[in-house]
Amino acid sequence: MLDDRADPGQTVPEWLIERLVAGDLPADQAAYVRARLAAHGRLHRIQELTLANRETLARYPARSVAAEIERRVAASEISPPAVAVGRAPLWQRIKQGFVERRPNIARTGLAFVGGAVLGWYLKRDLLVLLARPVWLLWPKDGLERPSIQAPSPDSLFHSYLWLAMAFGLVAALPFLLRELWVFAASGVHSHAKKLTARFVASSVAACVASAWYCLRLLPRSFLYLTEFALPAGSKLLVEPTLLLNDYVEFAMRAVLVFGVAAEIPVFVLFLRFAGIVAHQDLVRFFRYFAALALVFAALVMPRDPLSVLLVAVPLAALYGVSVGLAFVIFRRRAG
Amino acid sequence: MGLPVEKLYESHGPMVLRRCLRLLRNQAQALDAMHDVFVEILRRQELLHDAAPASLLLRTATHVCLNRLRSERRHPEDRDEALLLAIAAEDDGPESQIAARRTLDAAFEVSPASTRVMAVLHYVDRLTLDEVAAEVGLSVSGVRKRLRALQQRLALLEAG
Repeated sequence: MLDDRADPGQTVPEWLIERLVAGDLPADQAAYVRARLAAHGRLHRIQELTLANRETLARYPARSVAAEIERRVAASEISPPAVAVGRAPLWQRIKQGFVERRPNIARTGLAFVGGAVLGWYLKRDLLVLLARPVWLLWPKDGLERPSIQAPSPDSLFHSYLWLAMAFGLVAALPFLLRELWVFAASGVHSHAKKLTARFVASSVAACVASAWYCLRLLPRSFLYLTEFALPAGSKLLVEPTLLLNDYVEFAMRAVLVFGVAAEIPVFVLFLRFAGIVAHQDLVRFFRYFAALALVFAALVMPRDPLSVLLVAVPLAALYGVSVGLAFVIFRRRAG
Repeated sequence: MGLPVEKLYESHGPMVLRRCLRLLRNQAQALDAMHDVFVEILRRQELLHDAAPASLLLRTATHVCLNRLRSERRHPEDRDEALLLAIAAEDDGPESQIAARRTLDAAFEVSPASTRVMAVLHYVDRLTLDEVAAEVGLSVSGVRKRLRALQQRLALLEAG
């Protein structure tokens, strides 16, 4: 049944004739449709539709129709868009979306597994990279050799496992971001879909650059945090002891927060320029974003409320700045 | 308001009205739906980014009309069995009509709005898969996959 209508030699669809009469078709497609109409002896249909247009406009004058439309627009400001009415239940849409995206999900999973395996082989290098602040700054404290304590026999194994999985996540990042964009752009126009490659490239670049910057910044933050130790000669000795699991967790959290933060402006700008959301939508979404930022911060910084706020507030502020930036750039482009 | 409504209606209104009439088969309902189509366009005018809005208007008209038909089907007291058949009918034989109607039925039941529009474009408007893909901004294989999923769902319904 799928292919029985696929013969372009069949009658010309009314849809295309309408677009032709409206002057909406590109020149080459218009010529093709005209040729098809001529081949079927239906060129008169163009004239018929033109006449029908005039009759309709005479019967329903533009001024009265426009007034009614504007009245409905004013009334609809308080109601949701009509085209959203009557959709299939949410779980069915999720299920169908999952079935349709199955190959892409499989590709993402494969990239993750491949990355994780590679990460496992590179585990020692990754640990040394992540522990850069320790071996960079530790000698300054006058100690012989930088070291991190492994408090239990499986500490090292767990840390390597986490590092391998984090590397897998980085490998799967382009696929994940692509899925995220396709999900956000579903049901919109082809121009949004054409932005997919640019979105993925920009997001990955922003994320990787941000994570790299975080790794560069880690030594400074490490130095700052360890400088809170009591000065030498004081009555109490406070000696920082670095536990492997805690350190890996701390460093990976920092990289994750930086990576996510870098995605915020990229996502906001692309959503705005693709026309998926209006500026008002972005402004209205701020309260939900603030809630999401709090949830995210609570997940990555579960220790105390202050740490949660220290992560959530800058993320929310970054969202606000991104929305403002999108507004300014969009106005400049439109003007 | 930003968008010149009168101008847009003068250039594309009759086309939208014909589209609504073709799907709803009722002049009063079609006129009402046409107004709603322009309301939708005005509310989402950021989507109207190019100088050739006919495709977007026709797709929006299809969305609005299908939602109306679906809403009617939820209220059996207003149900018009002949309506879907009329949409699916056109010039084909009875078997093809029934098959097309069943496809539309299945589409109304479970499919997302975008698949419903694709089904109407392909089965009712007789656009080729290439043309449907161009209209909805998907790849041909994407459209084929959606319609195939629809038919599989239909086959399951028939088997069950």
